[in-house]
Amino acid sequence: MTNPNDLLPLTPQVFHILVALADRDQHGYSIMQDVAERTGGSMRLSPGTLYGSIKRMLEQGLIIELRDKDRPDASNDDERRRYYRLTHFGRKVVKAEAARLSEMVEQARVYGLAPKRS
Amino acid sequence: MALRRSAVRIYRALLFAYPAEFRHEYGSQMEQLFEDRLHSEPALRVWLDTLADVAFSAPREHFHIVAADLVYGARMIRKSPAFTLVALFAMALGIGATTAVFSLINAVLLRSLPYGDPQRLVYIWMPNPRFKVMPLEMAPSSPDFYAWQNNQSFSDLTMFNQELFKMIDADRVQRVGEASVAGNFFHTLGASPQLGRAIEPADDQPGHEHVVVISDALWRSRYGGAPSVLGKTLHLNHEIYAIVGVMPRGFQYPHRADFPYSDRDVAATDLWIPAALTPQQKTDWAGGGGLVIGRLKPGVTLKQAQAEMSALEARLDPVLHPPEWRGWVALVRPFIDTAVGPVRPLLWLLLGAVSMVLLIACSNVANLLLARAAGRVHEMGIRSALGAERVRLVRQMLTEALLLALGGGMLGVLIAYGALRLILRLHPGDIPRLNETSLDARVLLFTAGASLLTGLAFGLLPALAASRVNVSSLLKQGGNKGIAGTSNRLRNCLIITQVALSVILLAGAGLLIRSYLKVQSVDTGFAPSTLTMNIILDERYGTPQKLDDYFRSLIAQVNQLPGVTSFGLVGALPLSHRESITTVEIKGHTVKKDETADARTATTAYFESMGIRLLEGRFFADEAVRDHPAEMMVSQSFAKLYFPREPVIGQQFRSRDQWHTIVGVVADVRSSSLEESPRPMIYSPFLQMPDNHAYLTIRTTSAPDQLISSIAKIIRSIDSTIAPEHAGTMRQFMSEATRARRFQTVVLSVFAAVAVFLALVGLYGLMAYAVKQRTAEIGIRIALGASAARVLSLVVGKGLALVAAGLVFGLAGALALTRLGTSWLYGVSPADPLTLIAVPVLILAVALGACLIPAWKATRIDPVTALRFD
Repeated sequence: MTNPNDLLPLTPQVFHILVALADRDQHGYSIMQDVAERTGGSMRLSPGTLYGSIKRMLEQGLIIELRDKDRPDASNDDERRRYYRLTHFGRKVVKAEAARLSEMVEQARVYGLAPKRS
Repeated sequence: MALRRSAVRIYRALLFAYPAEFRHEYGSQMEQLFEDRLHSEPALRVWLDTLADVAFSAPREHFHIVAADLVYGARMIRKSPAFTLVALFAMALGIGATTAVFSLINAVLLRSLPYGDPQRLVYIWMPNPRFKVMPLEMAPSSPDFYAWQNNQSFSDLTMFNQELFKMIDADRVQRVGEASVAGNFFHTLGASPQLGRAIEPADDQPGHEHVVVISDALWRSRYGGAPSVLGKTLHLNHEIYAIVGVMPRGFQYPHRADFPYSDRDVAATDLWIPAALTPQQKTDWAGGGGLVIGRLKPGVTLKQAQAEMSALEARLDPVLHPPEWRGWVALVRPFIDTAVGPVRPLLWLLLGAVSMVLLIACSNVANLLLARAAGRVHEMGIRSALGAERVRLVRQMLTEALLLALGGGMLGVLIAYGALRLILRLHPGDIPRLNETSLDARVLLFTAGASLLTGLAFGLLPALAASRVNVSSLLKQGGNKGIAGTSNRLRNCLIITQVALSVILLAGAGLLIRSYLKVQSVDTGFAPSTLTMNIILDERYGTPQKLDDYFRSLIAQVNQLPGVTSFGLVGALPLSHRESITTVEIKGHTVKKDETADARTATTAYFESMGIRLLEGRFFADEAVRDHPAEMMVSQSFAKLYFPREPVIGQQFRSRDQWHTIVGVVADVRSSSLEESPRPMIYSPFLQMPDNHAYLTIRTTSAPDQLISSIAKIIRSIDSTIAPEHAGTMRQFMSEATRARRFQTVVLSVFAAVAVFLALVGLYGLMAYAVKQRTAEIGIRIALGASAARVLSLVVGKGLALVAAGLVFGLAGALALTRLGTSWLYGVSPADPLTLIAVPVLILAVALGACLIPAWKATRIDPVTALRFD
């Protein structure tokens, strides 16, 4: 199995997609909305970028596409849409990236370059 | 709503920018997402985002696929090193040869000349159609040139002469190419110096002419490229000249090959000096002239200029020339074409030959790829069953092919580099600017383009064949056959093509080799072992008396050297490219107009030292009384032409306004070229009309090197500023005369050899593959009692059948093509039976060899293992 650290650093897009999938399975459009919301609209994933990233994340085993029987319940399901789920490995990778980022912020903080912890 | 639908449709069209595989996988999702955004966001913003997204992410998706294919392709190539080596080798040979030929074409035809707008430059020649043997490219005389200045077609007309100047230093004398130019020479050519100034009209006046412009090469070799060179002086031909300018690199006009009948001793020009003709020289018709270059005015065509010059010269001819010499015409010829025209056919020949080599190399690699593709049917089938699309498989195979082609291209550049060194070594003679040939950016770009194109050419066919996998039939058969049928036919066709092309090249090379041998064995009329050298006496030897004294002293001293059997002098040696033609008028003949002969001056010892036989009569006397040059000798063809029936000895003819009596007939010599039949020639005694340019001919019994230095010592002891040049034997002149032919022959032979070799490799590969494919069948045959001979003939028979088909097409092609090239041949018909028999025999013999190895392996097949094999 690949070491999660081998895939770091992640691109901001990939990082945000993984975070978006952390608490629930989502389809492309909802991932896009989720990311836009969390970044205050500064990152708006366009179709090519989103699915290009998804393709490689699938290849790297960070996420999987859900089969029909695993899809969220029928009430809020849209048949045409494909849903994606974070894998165990994907979770490890996004955690490793988060740790890497906070380590960097920690170092900046020592020199007063980042806001103090509340 | 309708607006949104058409927006989605536009977006769907944009999706075609993505790789098909990606589009098929995610296209509908992306469309959905785009539509969702249109619902919730302002349309303009969605469009701006989306366009930027497509522009950025579509190339990225392509790049990801290429990168993956490259990694995969590199792995596949690494896995089969034998295949890779053979393919790379074939490609490197093909692309290398093509690159070498292209770099020649680049240097000669494509690279720009160091002149301003050379397309507008023309030469103006002044031939006289009355005199048949006179070439068209005659230099105009001075009065005509100055009268032409008054014209409507040219913005400038300039005149120059090329010469060898002696550059005299304290310790040595060097001979350097020089051009004596009119004041507007550089302006006409549109060439400016990199340092200082050019020759200007003010310099072109008697008394102001002691200035010189030098070449970049001389500036660097003599002055180390120092800018302080301006104002320095050069000691040239016993006069002092001040350096006023340095021309840029690449400007050394005129070169040896820039126009016909240029001075062979001047390879390129390093000095330009004002001609500064006196008013008398400018109007003296017999006194000389020079080469004339004109620059066409904008909008004036060659035809218009020719029309004006023809009319002008028709008016001038009766005014400027004496009655017996009238009939001169002005001939306007394009400048670049004059230099390049003569070598264009050679370059086309090379390009044609090298294209065939490249084609063979390509079909060879295509064949290898096809064979390998057949072995990869299983892999393709599985990938296809796993959902890989056909486009994807083709793309993968093409990437591998391009990888091979680019690798071959890089190796090819190395081969081309070596080949160019070799070509410069062979020195084909009259190719202008050949030594400027190099692998420059344009050549490398060409190589890259050629590699890509050939990669596509040989990759596409196997890729399409391999990707046409029928998964269900593949699975039914359990693996190994699949595409064998169609691709085998294709492979056979490729082999036939390769053999046919090799036959064409080999036949061409064979005819050239035969021609070369014929030229080599031509009866030259002189002994190749004769030792020769030449000396040039400068203007200090301006009177016949001074020349006479010099040569008499030289003859007396050289004849005393031990080992000298005979020592002669001649004004123009055979094959030295010095020509002198005169009109003759035979006494007693009803006036035949415009009879001409080559004129030579020689001492009697010249004939003996050169081994030229006396056929009739006697030699003339060297010591005849001055101002009474009555005795002459003629060549056999002169005698045959002008006295076909009557006895020759005692006949009289007039040339150069004097009557001469023929006292002897000597054998013909090949004088202007080895391939041209001897022209009528007359000989007059050298010492009666000594020339300042003389060739020494020596027959000797001692070692040539030692004798050369002894003679050089004598020459220096008479005058220390005179040095003998071009010391060697007549064999060297013969070698020089066959240089161009040798070059063509060697290059075409090498191409033919490469072609045959590649075709054999291809044939061997095909047969080896066929044996492997038929292992089971052959095993059964052996098990059923087939003898080794039977198996052998089975395999060899199939191979030779292909070769025979190739031979038929090849011979037909060769007959058609060699007919177009009769001008390359000498003494051999394009349908030369010997060549047309030898080529198929040779091909069959080597093809047999290529088939025998796999056939022998087939006889060793063990039936038991063979039956388990499939």
